[in-house]
Amino acid sequence: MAHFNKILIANRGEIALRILRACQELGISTVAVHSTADEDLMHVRLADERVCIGPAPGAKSYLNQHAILAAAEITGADAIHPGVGFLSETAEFARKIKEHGYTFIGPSPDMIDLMGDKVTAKQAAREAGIPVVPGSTGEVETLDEAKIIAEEVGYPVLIKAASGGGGRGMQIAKDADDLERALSMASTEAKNAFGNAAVYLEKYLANPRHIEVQILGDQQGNVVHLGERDCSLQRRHQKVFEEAPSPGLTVTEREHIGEVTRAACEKLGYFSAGTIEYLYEDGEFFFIEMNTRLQVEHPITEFITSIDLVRAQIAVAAGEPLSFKQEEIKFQGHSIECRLNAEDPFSFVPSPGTVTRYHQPGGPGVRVDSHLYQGYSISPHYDSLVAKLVVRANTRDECLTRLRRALSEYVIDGVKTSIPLHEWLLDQTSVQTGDYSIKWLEEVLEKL
Amino acid sequence: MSKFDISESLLRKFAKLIEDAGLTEIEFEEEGRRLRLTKQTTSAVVAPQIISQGFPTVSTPPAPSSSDSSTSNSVQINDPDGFVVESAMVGTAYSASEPGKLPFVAVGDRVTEGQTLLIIEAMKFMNQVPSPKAGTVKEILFKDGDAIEFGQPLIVLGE
Repeated sequence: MAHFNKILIANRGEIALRILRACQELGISTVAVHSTADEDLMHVRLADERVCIGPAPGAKSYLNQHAILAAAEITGADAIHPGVGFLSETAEFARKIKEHGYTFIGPSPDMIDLMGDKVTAKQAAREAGIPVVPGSTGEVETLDEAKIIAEEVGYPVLIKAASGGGGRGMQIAKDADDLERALSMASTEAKNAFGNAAVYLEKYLANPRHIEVQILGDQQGNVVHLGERDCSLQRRHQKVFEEAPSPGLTVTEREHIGEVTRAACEKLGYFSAGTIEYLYEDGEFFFIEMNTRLQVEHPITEFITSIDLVRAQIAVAAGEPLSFKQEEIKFQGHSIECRLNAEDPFSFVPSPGTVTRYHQPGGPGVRVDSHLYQGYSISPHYDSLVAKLVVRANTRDECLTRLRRALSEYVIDGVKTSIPLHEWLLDQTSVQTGDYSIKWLEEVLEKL
Repeated sequence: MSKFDISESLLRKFAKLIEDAGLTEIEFEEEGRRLRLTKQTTSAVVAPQIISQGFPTVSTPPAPSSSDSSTSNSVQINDPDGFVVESAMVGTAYSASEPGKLPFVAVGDRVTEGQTLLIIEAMKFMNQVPSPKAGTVKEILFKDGDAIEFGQPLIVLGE
């Protein structure tokens, strides 16, 4: 099927290896680009060609657009896969790739631009029929104005600094009597912290889940959704443990949000793989953002749909139509992914170093996406994600049992990893029952 | 010194046993005390070694004039005391300003600091590579039209 002869992988680590594997199965030659610190990376060893593009710091190598394009030029690659992170959501890079006659394996640069800006993304999402968090359209100036909007969206409401961030200039108003206090406090905090007293108002979600819908579109205008993933188990906005399907949605809710997302992306003319992230509470979904790229947690979707997302991305980039229709997609079983980082499992202090022993789990329903091997030295220069342990089973309970079994088989010596954190998670009632929100993990970790 | 009283001679005995018997690990347990000796072996690296030294890293140099289809970054530097000029970018190396012209430098030439040693073409831009210091060209490690990686040794300078 391949219209590409040679793909350059503009990334590193486990995701670069994942892309390399897809290319090899498609019979496409691969070019690995790497920094001086990454000569021993697994995918660099396995690639057909490799080019060192810069020194260890990512800004001078994996973010060096010029060097990556030069590497494509000297190797004669015809397409570039950006992976996740690094340049995967940089519209300028996607544009340059196109201008130089190569294919960017991802959506159009204009789509990356549109979804990369918070304001335009929210507007585009709303216009395409995606539910957004209700609230004021701009700054709220008076108490009366705030009261009217708060009545509309329903209490509790959140008053937020317009130029805010990091939780400062943020106040929750429980009811109408509490609104004046919240408004003046948020405004004062905002003024002190950011030099701008402007605040806006939106519906406050007390204990939402993080639900995201995977979509896949082709350049002929067909879009399908591949169901949702529940990524509520997070720490400092970093996903830790993901599962599909979500244990918190009803069948009706699942079908509804899948179709809403699919139809919206079709309206937007989106092609390639993409994900719309939502906050979910009490049967309602609210748009957070759209990721115009592959996601780290894509394997759980692959497990329950039997669709290879990287392969599909490559086919779509080559101009092929999707080979399946929405009604042909079968959702089967349950899948969970554990992110394993090279860090202390509970203090989260990074733990780079050499892997002295390595043994990965296997057996039925187990997939490990990792660039680790015995003797590999984990560099302190990059992200600490070193492995994704993904399991699949017919039911969620079987999946949890299988995950426990797989974690017990995993041996990574020489560095600390998140394995003990995941073993601990499996002992928690909330994880066993699936009853958790995006705040749960952070709250229980604080009490430890 | 410690409650874990194991003599040096015992450790040496174990170490010798590991060596003689070709073992990688000995574990010894007695009355709740446990000692484990392991030997680090380089052969334990199980990752595929498909790409070994000398394998072409960039196998398709774009210059048609180059008859040698395999460029390699594992170049041999003969003068260990020389100053190695490495490439600061990825691209195609050219030894002269245009085909048919004399090369910028040849082995034995005296060069001054800032003098152009070669050109690296990247994304249709010709980047002159200036000499970082004055000296004599001892070795030229690339051929005209070679594909060049970041950090690849290009020229060796001597006094």
